[in-house]
Amino acid sequence: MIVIEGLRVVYRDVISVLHGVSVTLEDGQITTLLGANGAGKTTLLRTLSGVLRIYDGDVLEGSVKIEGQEVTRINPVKIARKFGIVYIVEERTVFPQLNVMENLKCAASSRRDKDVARDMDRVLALFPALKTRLHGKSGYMSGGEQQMLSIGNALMTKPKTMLLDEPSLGLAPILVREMFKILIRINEEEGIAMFLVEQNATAAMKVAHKGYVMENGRVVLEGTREELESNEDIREFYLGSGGEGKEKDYRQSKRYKRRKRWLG
Amino acid sequence: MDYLIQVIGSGIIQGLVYGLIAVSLVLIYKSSGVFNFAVGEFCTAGAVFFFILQSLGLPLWVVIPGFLLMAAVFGGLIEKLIIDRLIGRDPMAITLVTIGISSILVGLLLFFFGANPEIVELPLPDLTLEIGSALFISSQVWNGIIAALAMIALLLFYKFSTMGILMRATADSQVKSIVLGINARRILTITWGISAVVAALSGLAVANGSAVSYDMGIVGLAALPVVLLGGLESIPGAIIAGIIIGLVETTSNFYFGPWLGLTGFQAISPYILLLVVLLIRPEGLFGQELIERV
Repeated sequence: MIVIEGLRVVYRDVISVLHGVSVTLEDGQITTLLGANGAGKTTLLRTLSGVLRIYDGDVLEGSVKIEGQEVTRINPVKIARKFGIVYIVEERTVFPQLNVMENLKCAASSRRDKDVARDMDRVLALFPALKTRLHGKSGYMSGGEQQMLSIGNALMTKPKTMLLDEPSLGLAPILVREMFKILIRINEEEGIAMFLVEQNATAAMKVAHKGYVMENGRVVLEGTREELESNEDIREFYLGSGGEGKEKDYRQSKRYKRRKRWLG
Repeated sequence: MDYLIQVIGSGIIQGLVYGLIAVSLVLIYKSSGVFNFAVGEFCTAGAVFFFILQSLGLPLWVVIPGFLLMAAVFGGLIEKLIIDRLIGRDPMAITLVTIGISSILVGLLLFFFGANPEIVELPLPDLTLEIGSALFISSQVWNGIIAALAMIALLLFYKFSTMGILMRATADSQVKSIVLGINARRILTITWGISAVVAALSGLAVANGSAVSYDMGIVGLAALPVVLLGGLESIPGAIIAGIIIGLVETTSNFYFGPWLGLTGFQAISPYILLLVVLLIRPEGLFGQELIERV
């Protein structure tokens, strides 16, 4: 279990991005995090995976506890290895100059067990499209194939938790559906917990057990999938439904007024 | 005709050695965007290590692995003690630090090794080549062989070994390798170690048959047009550009210089070629273009 409490993060000592975020990730569950651009979602993932320092960020207050251990001061390589946390970055965790085989080998390089070959077969079975491109530079593959390889790379580290930063970005709707199906399968078969940061709320809500909504560096709403799906604001702002029949008028919807209520 | 063979042969041998120095630079540049201005001193240090072990009277099969190991530790230590503390800074800042490292190493070499050149001679079988009236003395032939073998070994290592793949991965992206649990910092240390080994071999090739002195590091400057010509990120590019520059130097020394009536023309000829190539291909002949899908 990963518990984040009252997290405050700044970049370059002055740019405040997170103002007291608390999030709990249960083992083996898919948790989604929704929010507009600039809400601080990526910063939260960077803090969790420990790479925040590389981006000149600092944790001012609050704690991140993985299995009860404080990790905000721990080296990211150790977080990845010891706690099995793998972070699929927005630009995809793929090495473009390496071919598919080399990518998968690299990702498994920190492991000491003997199941690497078996896991490689499993990843290729999960993403058959990669099989045809084993020896081509991965940088030349399509966006969909790269995202598959990105997830494949993550699986090769034998993770307990996957942090996914907008995996649906730039993918065709049919590919998004297919990818989320695979994510559910991974979650159910391997029991890998997932923290799914998304802008595509409709797709993310379908797969998540639980969700959070962030705005301007704060969590403004949280709940189980059912709770969130029935919430009027979520339905209107994120799922694009709700308020049926009424004309979608900017003034009538009083978007700003209602958003303010969340901040309170 | 014999003259031509002499010129081309010398150019290729010279070029292989330049190429090897350039490879040492490329390894570091690829992995961290840092241009190591201390590469010449890395060469000198390697040759000095070799000289020290050899003057202890050790057999060649001990001296060669010994001095390579010393060079690896030397390169790794420089990374660990100085560069590692600067990770995350602008690569240009680290590049400037390498100029400082270069000066310090020259001073240390002068202090410990002294100002007198020492003769370095590899005790290897005589391979003196005579083609017509063209003559390649044994040490020259061996230097070419050493450089060529070192390049082949390095290319195979970089392409196929797990460490080579990891080095290429961290060169692609440090953050991505870190989030996959790859210890990018340790790999950078190893990269510096390997770069120092490559430099040590080229230092040996420079010194063999002549002498090693504390200011031999000036050969590092010869590698500058080579890496720029070959592209800062390409190992095969560095090798090919090394041979081109070697050939340009010797041909301009024997043909173009006298023809133009200029002495010392070989020293500027690589830069003239470099200028022309960079005007046409700014990333160098084999520079890595960012992979962009359309």
